[in-house]
Amino acid sequence: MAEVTKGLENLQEAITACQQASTVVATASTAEAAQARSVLAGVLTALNEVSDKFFLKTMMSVPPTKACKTEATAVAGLVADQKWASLPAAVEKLEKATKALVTKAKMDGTTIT
Amino acid sequence: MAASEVYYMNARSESPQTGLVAKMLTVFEAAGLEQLIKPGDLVAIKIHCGEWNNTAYLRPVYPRALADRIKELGGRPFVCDTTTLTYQPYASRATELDLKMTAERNGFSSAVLGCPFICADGFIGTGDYRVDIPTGYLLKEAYIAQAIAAADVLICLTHFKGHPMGVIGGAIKNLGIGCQSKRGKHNVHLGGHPKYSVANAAIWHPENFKGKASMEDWKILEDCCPYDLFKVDDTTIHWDRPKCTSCLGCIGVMAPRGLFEFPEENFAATDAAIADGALGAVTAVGKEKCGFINLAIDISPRCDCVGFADMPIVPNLGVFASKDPVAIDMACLDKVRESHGMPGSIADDFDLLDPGTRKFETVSATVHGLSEEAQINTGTLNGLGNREYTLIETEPQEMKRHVFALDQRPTGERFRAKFLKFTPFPYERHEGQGFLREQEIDTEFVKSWHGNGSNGGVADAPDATEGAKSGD
Repeated sequence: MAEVTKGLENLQEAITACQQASTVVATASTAEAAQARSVLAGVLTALNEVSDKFFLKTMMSVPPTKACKTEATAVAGLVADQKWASLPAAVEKLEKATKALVTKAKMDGTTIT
Repeated sequence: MAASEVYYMNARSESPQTGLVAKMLTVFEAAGLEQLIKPGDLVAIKIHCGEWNNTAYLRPVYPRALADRIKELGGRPFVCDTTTLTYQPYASRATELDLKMTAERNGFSSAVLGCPFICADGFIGTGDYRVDIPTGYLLKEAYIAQAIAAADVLICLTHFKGHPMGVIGGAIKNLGIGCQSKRGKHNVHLGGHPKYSVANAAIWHPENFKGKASMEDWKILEDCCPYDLFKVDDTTIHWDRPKCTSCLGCIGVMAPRGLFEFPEENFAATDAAIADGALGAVTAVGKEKCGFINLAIDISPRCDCVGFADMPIVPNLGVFASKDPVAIDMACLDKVRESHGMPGSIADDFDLLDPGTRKFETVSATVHGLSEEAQINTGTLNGLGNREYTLIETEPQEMKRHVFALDQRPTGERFRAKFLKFTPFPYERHEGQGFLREQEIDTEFVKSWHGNGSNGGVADAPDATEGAKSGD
């Protein structure tokens, strides 16, 4: 069986990808980069806030953190390649995945027993 | 030890005798479970009636058909379930009243089942029978629901699926949790245990409570405990830890708020204890008087004890019967592993669609490190059963045994006089045609017309008749 990447590991990779993207967009001069700056800052804050939640220790955290990792990696890749036209849609997907993670991390109504 | 026999039929159906109800009755007979029942025997059919708003539990027609068959054999069946611990703040089956109301809403009533539906462990869950289990791996005694312990024969009719704590929910869990009284469930969940109880396995962080003012829903911290062990004042929270019973009602409240570090050891140890509890149930009834039917259908990742049901992680796999609860669960588990995962399910989320993967311990277990074989292995070690099995493919029975049972005369013989007397077809209208209709329509047009919209892109897919021609 392939080892399943744990939620916390996924989250750390997502945060790293977001930080890389943030560093680049901070100095880029395109409109898309400017727009991405504030969104990425918000995403990073949200990801860091959920990192110490109990949810990250559960198997349930794997799919939503994997989604964040996937979208953050995509954003970082576009930024690194300076494909600015594709950036807004990718950032929107990352923001959506982050919101889903934050919601699930509250574990409302979750039965874990 | 010789391999145990497990009788199996797959989940495909194309005729009355290959429907799932017919297959359940067929493997019941093939596995020799009919022979357990003597005229006058009280036969407990242990089911899981499903939590409030769960939808994956077995449909009531399965225990109904089984009860009908048991009555034909001269037995006196009753269908039963047991009260639960308050596993979460909004439990729906923790008293007999709630259990029966939930069960009835889910379709399990005496009228539907053709026999009584019983809460087997009394109103609160203290109606039980204590048994010693000296070969238990962890537990050395068990408290079995009284109505089950009093039965002459026990048939566990189990929905095989995943479980957040047990990892799998099969025959062993139907015995090891489902047949325990509430007192017995406290035992299996290791309440009071010096190492594995929630009280001793969880790390308590009251310092993370920052006061009522900072937690809008602070009241639930007190109200999640049926034993009244949490007290909250303006700035602090107190837990009467020595009295904790491991009812688990608080875990889903405390852990997400950072007040508990999760008691992972409690979960792993409970998986072993479930198999010991199962041994207790079998011991209480008599090993030679217990039979097991597993229906591996609607295989949801989480148990029927949650108030929802996620989509199945694999396709329906089939119907199993055995006298060995360990072997039957191992056979079901192997079938799940052999199967493709279901696209769009949580198995897809975890990239577990390929055959040959251990799906449950990834998609069902709450935490890393639990095993989908822990119950099975413990059940082998404690003498409950044998994980080695021979899977015996079972042939369908003759169709006549599985058609409408209340009157097996053909339709002409049954209805001719009544249909002629109360003729449903209006022969007298429209020159014998009966109804007002167009004489002819363009059937080809409605097969292919797309309207004015853009929906239905699947219409552009290859013509299905090509597949029909080739048999693909």
